[in-house]
Amino acid sequence: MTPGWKCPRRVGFLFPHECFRTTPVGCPDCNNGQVQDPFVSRSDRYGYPDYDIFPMDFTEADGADLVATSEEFESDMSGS
Amino acid sequence: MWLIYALGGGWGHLTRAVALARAARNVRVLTNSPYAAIVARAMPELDLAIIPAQTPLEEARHAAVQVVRDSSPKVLIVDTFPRGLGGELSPLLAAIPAQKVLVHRDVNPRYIASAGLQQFVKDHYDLVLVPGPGEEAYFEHELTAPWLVRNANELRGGVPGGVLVCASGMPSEFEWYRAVASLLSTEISQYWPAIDRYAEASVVVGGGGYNTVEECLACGVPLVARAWPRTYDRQARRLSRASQRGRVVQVHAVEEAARAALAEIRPGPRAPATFINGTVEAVRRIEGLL
Repeated sequence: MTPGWKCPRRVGFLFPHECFRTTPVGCPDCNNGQVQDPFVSRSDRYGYPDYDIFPMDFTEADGADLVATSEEFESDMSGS
Repeated sequence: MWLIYALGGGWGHLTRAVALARAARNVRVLTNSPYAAIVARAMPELDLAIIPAQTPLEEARHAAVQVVRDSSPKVLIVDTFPRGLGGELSPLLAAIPAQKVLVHRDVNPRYIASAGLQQFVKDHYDLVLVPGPGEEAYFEHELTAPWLVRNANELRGGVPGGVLVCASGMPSEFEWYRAVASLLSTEISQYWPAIDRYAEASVVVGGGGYNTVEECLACGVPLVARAWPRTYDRQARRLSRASQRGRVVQVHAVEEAARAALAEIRPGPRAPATFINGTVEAVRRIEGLL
């Protein structure tokens, strides 16, 4: 383990967030560092059998709203 | 001269600015929309100051400030972003002798908090206008009816002509629209202003942006919409609110969109649109500052 190492990956179930682990060893998300970005590889977020049982007010747009960091604001002239 | 600062990707900021410009006189619109040339062709009478969409961040900021300075506007109307899309208006606003008006479309409240916009707007703006009851407002404001790029008497009515798929978002989203159109055996065409076509459609499949939603509500045409993620705009919330004001169905999957669109088709003619265009009231309130 490298002192001061911080995981560069994103993890999360519905919304990606920084991984705060100090080592990938034993990590269930990246499988000991073998998965580059565990969030991207998740496929169970939209696996609901029917939209009737999914909260319709809760969409990927809401997800993006939650993960935007303050550093992203005012730094892209194609934003909307 | 009035200058409308309408920087921002896509069609939305520019279309809303053009709507206001059409209701006033001697207005210049500052835009960096990649679709500015299409708008200029459709309405050659517009005074558009165009910053090319691919301009790097720092250059675009500089160019925007330059246009504001060179225009010496009597009124500066800033769409959506109180400090400018790149924050470039922040040091400029206090220095220019213009009345300042903010057009307060919905924005992510985290942006408001991170940029300290509550105090900034209070300190720098003479008037805040909210263009329609569908937008969430965070600043003290005056509310008008929605702003539309056409008036009701400019639209054709008659018997609706089927499903219209409006791919007005980002290029990466086009594939979803194409798939929906394919299932419905229809085509996607490029046309602006889209409201002209909405008035003639049985149902619209689109996104949850301001203009798509307000134009469909104004025309009384059902909207089947997907909420797309945006840095500032919160389309899912807009669609939820819009569903209280008209036929708006929020979808996600391609098949779901196609099914919902077919279910919304009604036979026979639709009543002509009779909406009030909020731009008239907006111009009156801005003129009240002078």
